[in-house]
Amino acid sequence: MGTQLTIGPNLFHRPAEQKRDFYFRIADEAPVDTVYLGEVVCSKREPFFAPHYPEVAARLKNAGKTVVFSTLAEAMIKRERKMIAEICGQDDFPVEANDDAALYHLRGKPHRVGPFVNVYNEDTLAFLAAKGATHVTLPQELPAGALALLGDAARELGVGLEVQVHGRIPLALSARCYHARAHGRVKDNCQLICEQDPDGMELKTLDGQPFLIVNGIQTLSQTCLNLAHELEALTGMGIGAFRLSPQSGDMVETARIFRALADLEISAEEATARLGKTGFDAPFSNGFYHQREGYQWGAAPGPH
Amino acid sequence: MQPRTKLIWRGGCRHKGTSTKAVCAHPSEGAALRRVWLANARLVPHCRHCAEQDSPSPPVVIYDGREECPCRACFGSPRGNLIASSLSSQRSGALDASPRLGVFQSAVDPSQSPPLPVAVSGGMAADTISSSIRPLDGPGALLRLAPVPLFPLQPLLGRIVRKIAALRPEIFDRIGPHTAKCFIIDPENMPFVLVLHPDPERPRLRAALFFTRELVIEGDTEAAVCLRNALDDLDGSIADDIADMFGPPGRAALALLRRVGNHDDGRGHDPA
Amino acid sequence: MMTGEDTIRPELVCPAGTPASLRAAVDAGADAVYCGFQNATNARNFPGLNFTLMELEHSVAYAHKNGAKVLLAVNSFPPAGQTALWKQAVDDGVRLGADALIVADIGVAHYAATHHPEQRLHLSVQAGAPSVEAIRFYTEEFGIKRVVLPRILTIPEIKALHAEIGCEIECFIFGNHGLMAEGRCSLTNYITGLSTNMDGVCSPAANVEYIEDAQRNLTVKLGGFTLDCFACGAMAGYPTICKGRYMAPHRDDAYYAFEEPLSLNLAELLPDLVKAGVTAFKIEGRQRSRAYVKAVVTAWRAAVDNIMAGREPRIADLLAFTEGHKQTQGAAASKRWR
Repeated sequence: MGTQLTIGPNLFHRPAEQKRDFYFRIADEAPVDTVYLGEVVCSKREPFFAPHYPEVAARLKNAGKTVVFSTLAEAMIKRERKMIAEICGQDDFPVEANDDAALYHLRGKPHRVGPFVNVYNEDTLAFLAAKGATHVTLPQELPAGALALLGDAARELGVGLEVQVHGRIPLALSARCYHARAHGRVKDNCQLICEQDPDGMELKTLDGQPFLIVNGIQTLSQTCLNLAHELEALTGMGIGAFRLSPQSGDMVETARIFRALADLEISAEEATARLGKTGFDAPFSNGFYHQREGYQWGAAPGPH
Repeated sequence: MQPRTKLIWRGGCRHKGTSTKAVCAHPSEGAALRRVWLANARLVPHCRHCAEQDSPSPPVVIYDGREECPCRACFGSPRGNLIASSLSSQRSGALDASPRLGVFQSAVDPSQSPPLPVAVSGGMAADTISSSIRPLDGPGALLRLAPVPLFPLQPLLGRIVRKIAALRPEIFDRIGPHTAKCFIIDPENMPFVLVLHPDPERPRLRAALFFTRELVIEGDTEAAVCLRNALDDLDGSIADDIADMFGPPGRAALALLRRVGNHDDGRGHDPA
Repeated sequence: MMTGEDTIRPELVCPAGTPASLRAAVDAGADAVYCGFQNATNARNFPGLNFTLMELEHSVAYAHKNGAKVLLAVNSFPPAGQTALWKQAVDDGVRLGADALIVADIGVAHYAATHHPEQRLHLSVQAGAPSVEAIRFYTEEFGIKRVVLPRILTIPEIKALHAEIGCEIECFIFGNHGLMAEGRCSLTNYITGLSTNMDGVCSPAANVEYIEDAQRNLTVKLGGFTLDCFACGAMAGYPTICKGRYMAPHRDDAYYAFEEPLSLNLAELLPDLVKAGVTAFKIEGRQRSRAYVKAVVTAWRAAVDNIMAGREPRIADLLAFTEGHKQTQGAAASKRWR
């Protein structure tokens, strides 16, 4: 099977129509194989886009894209647990589990596992495969060595592996909403202030250095992951799918670039050059893959 | 690349009548950390007089940064407060001719978060004193603290560190790769520092005085943290043991310091 | 106030970073102590901290002799190819008589459950299981007997949880207040290249710098990034990314974007926690000094005993230990915290 490209779940809060139009365009124009829908970060955002799921899913399916629903990464309250149970209970679309509650529901039937579940080693992979996991998107902090070994294990188990190759990197989750906090509120009375930051809110250090991105309860890298130069190696390891995380900038163009790269039509250097022009302004990084600081960008492995 | 921790540290010269508090005497964890440095550490003499000293290895300086360096005034003088040895040369500390006797205590903040180095006494983790002990300010403070004469101290410190090494050799395992390094430990409110070489073959602990106006020390936070954790694994009331070594005056001084600590600590927390 | 009839005496679970701390905690009245080996297999992998095999063996003997249990933390996540170290830790813990293993990784839990089915397993807070279903996943798949709850649940939530899960609950009641979902934080790795989840380090000391300027302001950095700055005289703690101060575009002031350096202190909520079904109270602090452990455990021992006897605990005593001398009850008191 050829290399697959995927559009990861939208981590940010955007106006519903905007999201709908985004997915329509992806359906019509983006050379991707799978699109992940679903609210991963904050259950309060869910009701806004939920009404659009049917038409968006239909449009994507008609365009030949596989539609997968991703579940919440952090579920505590009853409403959130119920949301997860519902998604896991339906059979129309495959489900990607992002926490243990979803794993609990999905045991025994085929399902996917997302990067918010700690699949760090072959033992965990094997266990989850035995419970029905068919496809696992691995945590972004795994270095190349571990990825290679997981690739071997996955091949043995017949499990597909996916890795994020572009977009800001999720680094942490919390029960507290940091967007609300930045505006002097709490999660209960947030009034969905996160909507005003389409790519999250940037935090700088005291000396003005861009540092992290706040997105509701989530913290992400300020840098934009770019594994264009590692794509070939990843393919060699047996990683069969590459995830592009939606953000501002032309995601269709981003997908085209990675498609061309995966098909060996362009070089990694050209891909990186073109990626720099898709309208998303953040420095690239690939540190985790090379077992260095995550924000680092370069080809050489670090001093570890 | 080892990250460097820089400290620009101010003190004063006793001869000039300023307080010899060579430390930013704040009962804070950060302050405690600042004082445990790895001395692979060059102490940078800014004083041209000290720089002109004709000695095989320059003394650990304590200079005043002003034109008239008190070091010249006190260097070699039996009444002077000579600086300690150089870190590389191991020369021993100076005489303070005053017959006052005192004892040292650690300044560990019991509420400190993930490991901070402890400002240690005698090179060992002693009982903690509540961090809310406020430094006794002013030039008179030193008299109340009854600082130790360094000269008789050196053999005692040597004995202490060798005894600990004999009783608890596993400490060196804990210190691990950092046993080859040299540590400067600065007990809070004390006008001197300790220089520790936790070499398992030949552990050394010396006291040294600092009278500097500006001192740049660079250090390795990880080694400091490691040392602190290793030293924290010691049982027993080391402060009591040290005080005992000084005899009745030592025990009295320790009791006094503990009362002082209690008094300064508005929370009434018993440091023992 | 406790009446004592339908309430069981909660277990006081105390941290032990070194053998001396362990003895101090046991002597001060801990019902159980938790500790880890000197490697990446546990989430407090600090230099100079933790136990060798021999030290654990002696510590288990000491604890058991004094009526206390020893819980071994094997709660970090082995990366692919390195699972042998974690399996060894599990085997050694069982062999040396640890009363329970605290695990987080699914592979490690599976190994322990299949190779040592008689060994009691606890679920670490690092597994990040805050819901009924998440906990049930572990109790059903691995026979977990106790879950350490993330510090993010309110008391009513804990009570509701207790009614639906088939295992004991252990709750943090004192110490460093952690906010980021446990076991899923890559902030340290992003900045330093060392992983909290895989290497067991958060804000490794080797990457910490304190820099003082001419005005005696102290800047604290991790991996070259400034996390905070303290004016001369202010208390400077150990830097962690989640407790730093940062600038946001719409704010003029530097602020604690994630959390202030606060200490969790649920002393006043103890009776409610017991009523909610919490069977064990956990004090955080394996990296704290032995003297701290002794003092804190003594105070909490007295507090728990007082509560069980129907007396008021002396809560003020515990204030002095809290980081930055500010306390919080976190989520336990109300949801407003979130």
